[in-house]
Amino acid sequence: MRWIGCALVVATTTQVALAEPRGKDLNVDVPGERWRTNMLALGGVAVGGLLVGGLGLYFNLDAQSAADDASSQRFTGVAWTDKRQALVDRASRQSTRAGICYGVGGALLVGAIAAYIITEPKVEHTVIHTQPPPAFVPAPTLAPVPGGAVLGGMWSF
Amino acid sequence: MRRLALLAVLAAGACTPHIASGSYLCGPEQQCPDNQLCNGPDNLCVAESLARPFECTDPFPNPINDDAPSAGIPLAGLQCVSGVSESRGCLTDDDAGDWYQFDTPAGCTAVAVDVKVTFALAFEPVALQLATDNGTPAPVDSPCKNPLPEETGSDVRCVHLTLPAGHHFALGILHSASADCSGRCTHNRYTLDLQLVTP
Repeated sequence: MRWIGCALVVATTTQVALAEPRGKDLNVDVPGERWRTNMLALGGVAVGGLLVGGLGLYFNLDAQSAADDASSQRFTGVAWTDKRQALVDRASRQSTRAGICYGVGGALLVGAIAAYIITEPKVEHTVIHTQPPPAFVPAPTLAPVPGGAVLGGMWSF
Repeated sequence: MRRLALLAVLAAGACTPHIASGSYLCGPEQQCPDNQLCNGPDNLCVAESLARPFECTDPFPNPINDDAPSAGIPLAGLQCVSGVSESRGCLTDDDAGDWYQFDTPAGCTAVAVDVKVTFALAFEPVALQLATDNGTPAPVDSPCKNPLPEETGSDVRCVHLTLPAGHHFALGILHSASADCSGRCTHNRYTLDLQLVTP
């Protein structure tokens, strides 16, 4: 009798496995989320680039002002002194500084933009397996009652 | 982005001073902007190709035989209180110095001499000496009441001395041997203003 029960169980299980129906597969693209550290680092580099560029603009304007003070297209009536030469030297020095700042600031900005593109989080491709809608299979119930048993059925819809 | 780069290039390009030839007077020791030289005849900073050597131009003659106190050019007619006697001259590289002679009138109760020598800042400054009654010359120098700022392109040396009345004096304008462009600008043009006043 025990042998028969075991055989029944195996048969039932096999039947269920073979008959298990599958639902539809849903393909979902989940966008990756950028890390806070990444955002802060890129923002910092970009802001740094802007600040260095701003410093370059300051040097540029100062150089231009010094150059304008020394420039002349007609007789000024004044002598070329160390003070005037200092203006030319300042224009040259500040111009060099401006060039360096523009270069560094531009490199930081371009670097930040490139890093933003490179470190873009990948989109995750996920497949969601859905359950098939429940089949109309009534579940029989058997409840012993005094003097016999009640046989019934349950199903959902 | 391209416009910003273009603006930056344009702005950087505008940082080089543009100085036309002849815009500035020469500074001390013939200082001039880059690519310009001091023009000798008018001490103006000009393009290198236009620069000419120093010369004693018309209003600034270089009298000969005035290299000793006794051979100086006489400044006659000075009263106890005189007007300004103006003389222009030129001190060349091979000229030992220019001398001017004058007398203080005998009848003056007190007399002083005011001397002002104005010269180009570009070349060697002059030094002043005074000799009394054909004696040994001695350097003289006093603070100027109105010193000239460097921007004017000129410098000035002054003498203010109380002198004895009825004597003979010689004032020498000589090389100072300073700020002479390492010997390349040992010359100058000058204007001498001399006046006798009450001290």
